[in-house]
Amino acid sequence: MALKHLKRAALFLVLASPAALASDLSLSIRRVDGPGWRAENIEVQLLPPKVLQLRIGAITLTGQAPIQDLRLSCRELAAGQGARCDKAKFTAIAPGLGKLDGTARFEFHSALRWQAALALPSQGLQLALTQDADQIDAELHAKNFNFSEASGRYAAEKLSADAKLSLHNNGRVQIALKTQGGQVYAEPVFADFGVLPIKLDAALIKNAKGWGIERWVSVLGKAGRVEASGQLDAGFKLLTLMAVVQAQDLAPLVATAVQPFLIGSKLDGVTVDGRASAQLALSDGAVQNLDVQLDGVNFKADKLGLSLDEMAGDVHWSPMSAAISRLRWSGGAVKKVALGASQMRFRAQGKDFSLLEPWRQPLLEGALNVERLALRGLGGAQLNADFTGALEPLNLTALCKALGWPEFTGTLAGRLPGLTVRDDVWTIDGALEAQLFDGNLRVSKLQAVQPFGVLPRVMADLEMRRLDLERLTRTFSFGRITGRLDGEVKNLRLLNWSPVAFDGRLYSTPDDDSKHRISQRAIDNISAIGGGPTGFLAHGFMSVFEDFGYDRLGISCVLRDGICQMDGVEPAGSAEGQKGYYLVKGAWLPRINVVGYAQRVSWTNLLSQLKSAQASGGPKLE
Amino acid sequence: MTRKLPMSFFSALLATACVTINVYFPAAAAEKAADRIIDDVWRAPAPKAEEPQPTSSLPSRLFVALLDVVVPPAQAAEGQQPNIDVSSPEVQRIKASMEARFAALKPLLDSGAVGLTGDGLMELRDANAVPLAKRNAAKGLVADENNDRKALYREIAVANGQPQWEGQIQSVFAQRWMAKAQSGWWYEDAGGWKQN
Repeated sequence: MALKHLKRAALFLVLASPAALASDLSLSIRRVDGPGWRAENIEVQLLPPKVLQLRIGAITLTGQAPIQDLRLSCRELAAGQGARCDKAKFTAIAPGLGKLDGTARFEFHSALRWQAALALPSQGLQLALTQDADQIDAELHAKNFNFSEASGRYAAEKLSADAKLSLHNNGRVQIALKTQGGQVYAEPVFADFGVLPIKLDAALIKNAKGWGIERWVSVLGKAGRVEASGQLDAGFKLLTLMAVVQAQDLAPLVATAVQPFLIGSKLDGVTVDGRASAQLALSDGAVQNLDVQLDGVNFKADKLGLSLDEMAGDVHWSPMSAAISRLRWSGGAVKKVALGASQMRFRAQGKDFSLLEPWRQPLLEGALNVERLALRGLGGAQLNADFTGALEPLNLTALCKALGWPEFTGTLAGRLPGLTVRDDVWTIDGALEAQLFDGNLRVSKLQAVQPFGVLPRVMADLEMRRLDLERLTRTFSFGRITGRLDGEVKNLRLLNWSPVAFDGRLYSTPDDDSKHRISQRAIDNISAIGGGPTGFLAHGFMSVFEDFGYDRLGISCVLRDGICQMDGVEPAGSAEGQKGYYLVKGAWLPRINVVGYAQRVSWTNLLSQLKSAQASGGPKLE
Repeated sequence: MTRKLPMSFFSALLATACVTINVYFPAAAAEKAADRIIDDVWRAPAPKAEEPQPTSSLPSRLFVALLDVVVPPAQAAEGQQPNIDVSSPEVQRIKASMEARFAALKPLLDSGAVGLTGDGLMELRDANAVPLAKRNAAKGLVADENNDRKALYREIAVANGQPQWEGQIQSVFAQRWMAKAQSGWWYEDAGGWKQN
């Protein structure tokens, strides 16, 4: 160490009193180490009276790629009280910038009073350093500056900015930065200063723990402002921080500073606009307190299928004893289900969330009433849920429309007494009851599998009792059938709200003594579903009859991997080696039986047959 | 008592003659299944009559070769070889999502910005090949693709009733993605990144 100091002293000696030297001088230093930097293979050559050449093999800032082959050559050295050179040539190879070629100027009076300036016109950079007694000032101007580093983690394009850095001997650092335009990428943040210019004014002070942040004010165009104070450790890691964020326009702030951190998550692609302010307290590198005030905030997360409009309120989070949060919104949507205005009072604390009063979310002319909701261990493997809720009668037609299903008329309601979450399977206890077609539909064993994963699925069991076939067939313009219908759809699995698997069965309600009649068109349609001919009744003797009596009807489908394994109400005889099953078993005379032979039918074909049955006008007799 | 005696005798016999039933991972079938999916996702032309064999002897390939020796071809021809089912709606849906994404990913693969990793995923290996403003969009595409791929490997294993096969399916896919990589694409093997 002593030797290094000696060598540095020798260098200063050379520069400080060049006039004293009459003959050529050359000096080689193998290595000089400083705090956070290192210079290797330094050669200084003085050819009196006017030539000074400096060559440094490599300058390395700790953790960075080295600046190589730095050469400074001055042919107009003016020696007097100190040394001065107005036109020096400068070249170097810098990481991410390639070959630098520019001019330098320096004036040296003493180690405590000197100036140096560097201009790199091809890179659009100008750097000026001034040491005056106890302070070094560095001024950097960049104009259309391009930079790209090998890893691609940091880059700049057409960056124009002015920066000023002052280092005082007492350990005080003042930073002023103003961007004029251009773009910067610092993984994962991409900032377009044309859209969001930044003005920063900060003061740091060296202290025992590292660096104290005395002042930090950054103004982000017209979008917002961040003020902070705190403490960094010697490696510039945050220890404590008090930050206040004022956002007049959340949209560019969220897009620049938040969205990049959501890539790959379900919140990726989130858009937020409106106004907000936030206070953040950090200590020991961990968030102690976060208070957010929202005003007119519109939130939209497409991947989650969730949007909330005109959110307002105060949200507080803290690892312990968090204050009460209040949030209200004027509307929104879950997938295509529109939500009405609602509000919520809750506590968000650590990994826990709990409602402090029942929450009623109006939707589909009804509402979801959540009486109790407490989630513990959010974001962890084991989520503990305490939930009680109820569904106030929803309009089924609106729900079916939103989910892209055939539109049933009726209402859906029910009590939901509990929720269990295990291995990312959310199971809702209780059942939902729908009143439709004068009958009953019961939805039980409701499960959501990986609701926030790549493949959210919904599973349920359905049970239908005593649906009025006349109303049902009229709704779907399927022809006309009278009588009652029962059914079960077990192990129903919905992917993207479309059924992909179930064990389904629809059949005439046993011991139903209502009138069983079926129209020609309905027979045609059922026949078509069973893969049979259509329109054959419209000709000849049978065309006289508008409808027919039937004993029982029914269909079953076990759907797996896009194939429906079909069956009917009971086995019929075989034809051409194929086993048949009754879809409609006739009664009285003239008796019509519809027998199906197709065993395996593609589900998409079946659906399109159903659709075309609905669309077709059917035989003229109707 | 008289009835219980033989029962305990049998259980003792069972305990001593411990029978282990191994469900071997059907690597050859998994390769075929992977190829079908990869061809669809990358919309490759009909598979060539003879796939060029990778020069490195990959472990699963070796395993298949061993199986070929042990199992007489006649038996295989009788359709007794295990099959890997990729027709489950979950698998089909992930595949469709990956097919839709490929148009956006292909330019990134072509330019070398994105490469195929050794574990059957993708990586943004040269961010500098992507314009600054599009770098995060590229990262998003890769992240979404990787989420889909992980789900694909898991759902194929689950659909075949063998969730523990997930890792093996992933390594079969890793090899097949590379074998089917278009010329100019980058892939990663034990020696680092290489260009196809």
